[in-house]
Amino acid sequence: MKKIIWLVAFLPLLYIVYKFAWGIPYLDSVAAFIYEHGGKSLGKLPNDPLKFAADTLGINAIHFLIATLSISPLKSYLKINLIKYRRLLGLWAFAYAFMHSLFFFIVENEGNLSLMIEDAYKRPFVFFGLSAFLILLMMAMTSPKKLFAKFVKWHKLVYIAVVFIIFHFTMSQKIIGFDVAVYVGILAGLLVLRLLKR
Amino acid sequence: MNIITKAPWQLKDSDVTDEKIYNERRTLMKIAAVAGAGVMVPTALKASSDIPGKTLNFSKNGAYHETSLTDYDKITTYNNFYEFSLAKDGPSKLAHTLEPEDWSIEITGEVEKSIRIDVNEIISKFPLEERIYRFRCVEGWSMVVPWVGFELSYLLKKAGLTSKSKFVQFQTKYDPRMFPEQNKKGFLGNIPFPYVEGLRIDEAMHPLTILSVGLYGKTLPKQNGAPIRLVVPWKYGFKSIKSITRIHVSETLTDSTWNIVNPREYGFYSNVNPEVSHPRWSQAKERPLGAFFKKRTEMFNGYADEVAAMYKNMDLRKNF
Repeated sequence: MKKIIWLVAFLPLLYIVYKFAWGIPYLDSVAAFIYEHGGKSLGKLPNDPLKFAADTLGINAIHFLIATLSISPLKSYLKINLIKYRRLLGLWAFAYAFMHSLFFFIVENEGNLSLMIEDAYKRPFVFFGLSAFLILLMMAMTSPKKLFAKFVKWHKLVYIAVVFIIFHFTMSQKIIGFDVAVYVGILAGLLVLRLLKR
Repeated sequence: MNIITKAPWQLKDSDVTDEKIYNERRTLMKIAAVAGAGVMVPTALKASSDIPGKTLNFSKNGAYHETSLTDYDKITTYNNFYEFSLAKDGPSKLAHTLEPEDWSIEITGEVEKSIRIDVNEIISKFPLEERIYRFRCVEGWSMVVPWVGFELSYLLKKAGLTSKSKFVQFQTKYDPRMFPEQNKKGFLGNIPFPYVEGLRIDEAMHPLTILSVGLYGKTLPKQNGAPIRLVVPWKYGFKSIKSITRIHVSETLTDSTWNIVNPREYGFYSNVNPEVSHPRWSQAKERPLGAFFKKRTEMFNGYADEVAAMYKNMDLRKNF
């Protein structure tokens, strides 16, 4: 099971590498080979590669966050116990959030910390994204067993992170389309399930 | 030449004729510039036989050229056309329901006479020319497009401007059979329809402002706003409204769709301005389609020499 999670977790990264390969000399011939041998649905270089990479990393952070947050409702409502995989899923959510943030930091803020802070101050969706990331960072750092026991209360902050991520995601859109609404619905639903349990 | 103390848009009511002469003079200057430079414009990079659509007859205007054109494939598969989809790759897959063949465009409102012209007549009789323009989206991406079209002023002069011609509003055709998303009007998940956009009369009469009927030498692809669309190269792309069916000239400021949706984020002018950032996107840089690196955005998208005078007495932070 853990192997499957690792495999699935790497797929979006491989997808980004494949898409970018189209625009890089030598690697483009590898991409062309994959394309010719049945990979046509994978498509070619995205029209807006930077946005594509940022969006793909971000949405996969949300995918893994949803998976992580589904574990405890699965246990309490459906008696399916997958709790031993929760940490791995959570760490992958963090990994994608980290890559998403790092990508944004380098491409959007030119790797300049003061620009990033200014950006977070100027643009509310950046503020919410960055704040959510800092919560996930704290959780990732305190996720080893011994530390987790000490910091378990702090991990409740993930609910705040989810609210921030909902703000971050919706505020980054011009118009909230159907797919965005579905993501927000799922995230909000997972929060509501926790409130109901009390 | 006299020193102009008033900006062109501050003309007195009696000065309308002067504006026409002004524009004609601009055209002459442009022709002279082209003849003088003897510039050969690079032709479309892709063999024209590979590009779908009807071949258009047009001249090449060498005053507007760029060194690198954006690929035809990118221009036609990365579109904001919310009448079909919110996704950029949606319109190219869904726009087949658009029927651009039997299409006319009407000019109404504060003009000497309302007129209606068939787009086929425009294509066969109007002086079409190729203009290679930079195109900058408010979302931070950009491209370079070889449009085929004619100056909007040419059409407005046919209807005849009056002293009350102050603003021009454009409207995309409203027909949910052709534009499926128009059925979602008012419901969560899309903008209100029909899509409308507006220009001040001096912007509309400016020689850079064109109505386009084609790109890469062929008639416009449906997803790019067939059969006729506006192109205002110094403004963010959403001002360049697609599939126009009505042009209404009025005395007062008119609605524009994104300004209604979110007035804090989208102003009436929406001139490309790297110094005024959008609440969601810094506008200092842009991502040319297909590129891995950003480039700096230029004031008025690089057309400052031509258009800056129209805004010289305005605070561009307030009038964004």
